[in-house]
Order: sequence, then structure tokens, then C-alpha cells
Amino acid sequence: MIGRIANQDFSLFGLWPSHEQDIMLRAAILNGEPALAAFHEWLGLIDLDQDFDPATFRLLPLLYGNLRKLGVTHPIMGRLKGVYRLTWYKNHKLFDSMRPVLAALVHAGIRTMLLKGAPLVLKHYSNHALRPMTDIDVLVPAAYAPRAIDVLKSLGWRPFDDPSPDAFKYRHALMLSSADNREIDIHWHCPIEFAGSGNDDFLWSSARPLDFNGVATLAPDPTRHLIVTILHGLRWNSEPPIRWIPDAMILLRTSGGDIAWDEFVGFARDQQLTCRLHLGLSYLQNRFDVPIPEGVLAELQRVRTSVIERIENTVVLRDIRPLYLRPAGNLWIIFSNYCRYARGAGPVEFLVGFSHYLRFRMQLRGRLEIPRVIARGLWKRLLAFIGIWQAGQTGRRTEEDRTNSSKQTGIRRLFGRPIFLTRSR
Amino acid sequence: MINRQFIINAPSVVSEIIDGEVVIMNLKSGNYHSSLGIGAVVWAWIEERKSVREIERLTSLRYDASAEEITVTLKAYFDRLVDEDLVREVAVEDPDRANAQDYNAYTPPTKERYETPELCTYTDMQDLLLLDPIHDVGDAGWPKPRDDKSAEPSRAAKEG
Repeated sequence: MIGRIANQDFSLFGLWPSHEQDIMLRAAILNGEPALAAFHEWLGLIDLDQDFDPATFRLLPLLYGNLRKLGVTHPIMGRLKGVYRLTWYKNHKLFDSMRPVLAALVHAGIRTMLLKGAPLVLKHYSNHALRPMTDIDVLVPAAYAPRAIDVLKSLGWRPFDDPSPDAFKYRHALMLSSADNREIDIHWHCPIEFAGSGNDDFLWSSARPLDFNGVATLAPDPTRHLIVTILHGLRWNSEPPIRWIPDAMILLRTSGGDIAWDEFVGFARDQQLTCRLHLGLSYLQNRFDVPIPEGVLAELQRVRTSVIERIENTVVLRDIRPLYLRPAGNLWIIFSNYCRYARGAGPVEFLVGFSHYLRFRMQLRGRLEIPRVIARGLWKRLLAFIGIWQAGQTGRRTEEDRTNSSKQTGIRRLFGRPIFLTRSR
Repeated sequence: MINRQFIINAPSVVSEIIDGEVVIMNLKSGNYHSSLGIGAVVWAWIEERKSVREIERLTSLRYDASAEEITVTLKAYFDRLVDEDLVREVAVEDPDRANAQDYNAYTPPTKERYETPELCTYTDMQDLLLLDPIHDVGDAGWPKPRDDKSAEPSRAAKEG
């Protein structure tokens, strides 16, 4: 599985950009003639009267910024400039509305670090118009997460999910929304792969100061920011998450000299994430000629991919929609998430922990319910198969029966509802 | 010598100059403003903390217009900026910088045509934010809606 993906030509849709997106990325990111050539090729591929896919749409301001720099004059530039203006307006509005929230957290004595878009906009793009954002991601120390959520609740924010002790234990973040539909993600572990690992010092230890509209906060240093950007972006999604590519590029362009590549490789090795980070860097080098120091890619490739990463990548680096159609597939997704969560645990601790984790993901009250739920699912499935078999034997299969037994709807219809359909957030 | 100067009401006012157009946002009101050409040039001079006399002098060096026309139209532009709470006026000590400074850098070989600086103000942002910035707009792009959309009564683009 891993080798197959790693050796592919970056073509798995949902993990890598589509052809149109790839051409558009080149027009938005590259310099000089290659960008101009890509822009003209892209114009031939698109139909302005049709909707852009959301990922492409989010890159239009960056495309405008690059084309403007290159002196392009084309009728489409007016509309692209409009998207640029709109992004500029919305981001300023978002930042302004989030300022009191961040100030309240700081006032409550909670250390904060901005993740993802906000530090990129302020420190690296250095422009509010180039990267659209819809929310703000704030990292707080894990021990302060419940208090941070209380502070936000006191300001009128509503948590998207129940911030239970289990949630703080097993999840990495919680989304909250305001009455005017603004969103904020409070993270207590970052990246998501660190949930349960106790490695939270990873980001805090080297954080850099950041002024967020007058509020003193922190931002990840470029090395860790690059790692988080690749890990967050390089995950299969039905809408290819291509924004990580320009984000990584801007980090490398503005802070390339500050990237501690030995730390990058050391992190990948220690956290068993060499495969994904190698894939991400390989992509940037192959498609955008990013200068990665000699030896970094070789070293990442040299490290043997761990069992945990292999299991994790069966979910992260492939189209997982088929897995969601089957109870066993859902169980596999949960198991792979748990493998990352519980890495380093001994065999007994691993097994016991999994039962707790399963209970949490299946939203059950106690672990004793797990066998009952599984048995009920198997029983229903058995009955369904018997029913189908009997119908086939007696020749009384109706058109409806045949539809029911078809592969497209089979398991979902037979079970009524999938029992393991608790999707990882 | 006491001179007049306008100062941008930061941090509640943010702006950016994009291709000869200044876009300005008042974070307090949420209003969005834009000014093209001379309006953007004058805004850049305000950002550089040039006094009113300096701005008038620079304008007369760069553009083909009478001193009276420049004074009158710039005053109207400054008044709009003040009315929209984008700038505030302060008095500054100015030992006649407007004459002493070397403005050759601002002087083109031939003077440009002067057009009265105007500030477009958009107040109905709720509606404008709902526009699809590709399909609901004209060639000039957001926030100017397509002609067949501009007739909607809830969308107000106040120009002055």
C-alpha cells in the first residue's frame, strides 16, 4: 500500500491535485514564463460560467497576486482582483472579530499559539488578501483546554461537541461557533497525530512571538510549521486539500533558511511519520522545483516505515469512502486512529486501551456494550444473508430483493444503519 | 509655521493599494471604501504623513490642473475621508517643507490628466458578502455587482 502510493506519479485524486488544479497551482505559485504558460493553459481548461471547485476557488487570490506581479493583463483579472479584495475584507473582519477572543484567553492566563492560517497570513504571506480563511485555530496547553473552552463559553461561544473528559483525552481539538456564525478551533494537541502522545512540547518549545492585531501570542517556528502543514494537508479527502501546497511553498520561500532540516528528519523518524513527510517534500520538489537539501529526502526514504505508520496510511493516504460502507471498514479506521494514539503502549495496555477507545468512538456508555453491539450487527447480517439465500432458493426474488442485495446498497440496507459510523474528526 | 495634516485612524482603519486603487476598511463600521487613480495616490501621501500643503504641491507638480481646482477638489476628498472616520486632522509644525523638499522624484516629464479624486463607499456589506465574486459581478470584480444584479434595492453602493 505505502510503496504503491509513494511510487505513484502523484495522481491519486483526493490526495493530490487534479490536472486542472495542478496547472492552476503552477500559475499561482511559479515565477516568470512557467507561471504565464500555466495561466494560459488553465484558461483553456476552465469554463468561467461554471462553479470552481472549493479548493481552486480558495487559490484565486493567490493566482491574482502572482499574475499581478507578472504584469498580466487579461479580462479575467478584474474578477480575480475582486476575489482578492473580498478575501482582504473578510480576513480583516475575521481577525478583528477574533481579537477580543484571543485577548480574553491571554487575560485568563492561558498561553496561546495561533496555528495554520493566521500565522501564515501575518508572518509569511504578509498580506491579508492572499489566503482565504473561515476560522481561527488556537493551540492552548492541554491542561488549560477545559478552562479555555469555559472562557469562550463565557463570551457566548458554543462548543460543536460535548467537551467531556473523554474528548479531552482522545481528541485533539474542539470547534466552537459564535452567534454570528464565526468559528474557532481550540486545539490542545497539534498536529492531530500527537493526541495521546504527550509530545506537546514539540510546538511550544520553539514558538515565535506573534502580534495578532495588538494581542501578543505565539506562532510555530518555520520547521514545525512546515511539518504541521504537510501532515495536515496530506490526507485523502473527496475535495483534494491542495491549500497545503502554497502554504508549504510560502514557508519555504520566506523562511527556507530557518528550516532546521536535521530536526525535520529527526521528528519524522521519532514520530514514525517518515513516509508522509517524504511524500510531501517529494511532491514539492518534483512539481515546483523546491530546493530540498541533499540528503533529506534520501534520509527520510532510508528509514523503514513503521508498522504503525503503515496501518495509519491505509486510512490517511487512500480513498476511504469504501471503508465507510462496511462495519469492518469503519472498525479498521478506528483501529488505525488508535494505533497512532496508543503508539508506545505495551501489549496489555494497548488492548485495554483499545476497548476504552472503541467505547468512545462508538459513543457507548460502557465497554460492556461493545460485544452486544457487535453481536447484534453480526446477527442482523446473518439473518439478512439467510433471507436472501432463502429468497433465491424459492425463486421468489422480487426486483426489490435484487436491488437490496446489490453491492451498492447491501451492507447499509442490511444493517439499517452502520454501527461503526463514527467518523474521525 | 503651522500646517494641516491628516492621519489615518489606525488600527481601526486598514488599507491596501492594489494596482492604482486603494481599498480601505473601517473595522468599526465594517464599511468598505475604494478610490482609484488620484484618490489612491493622495491616500499613499497621507500614509507617508505628508501635510496638506505638501499634497497640494505634489498634486500640482504631477497633474495638469489649476491650483484652485486642486485645492477645492482635494478639500472635498479630505472632507469625505473625515466624514467616513477614515482620517483625522491634526496641526503640525511645518517649516514650509512643501517648498523646501526636493520633489523631482514626483515630477513626471509631462503632467498627467487630473481627475477629481472620489471615494466609493459600500455600506450594505451583508448583501455584498453574499455575492459570488466570479459569477455575480461585472468585469471590474467584487464589490461591483453585475448590471442585472445592481438593481436589487438592498444593495447600496454610495459614491461620492
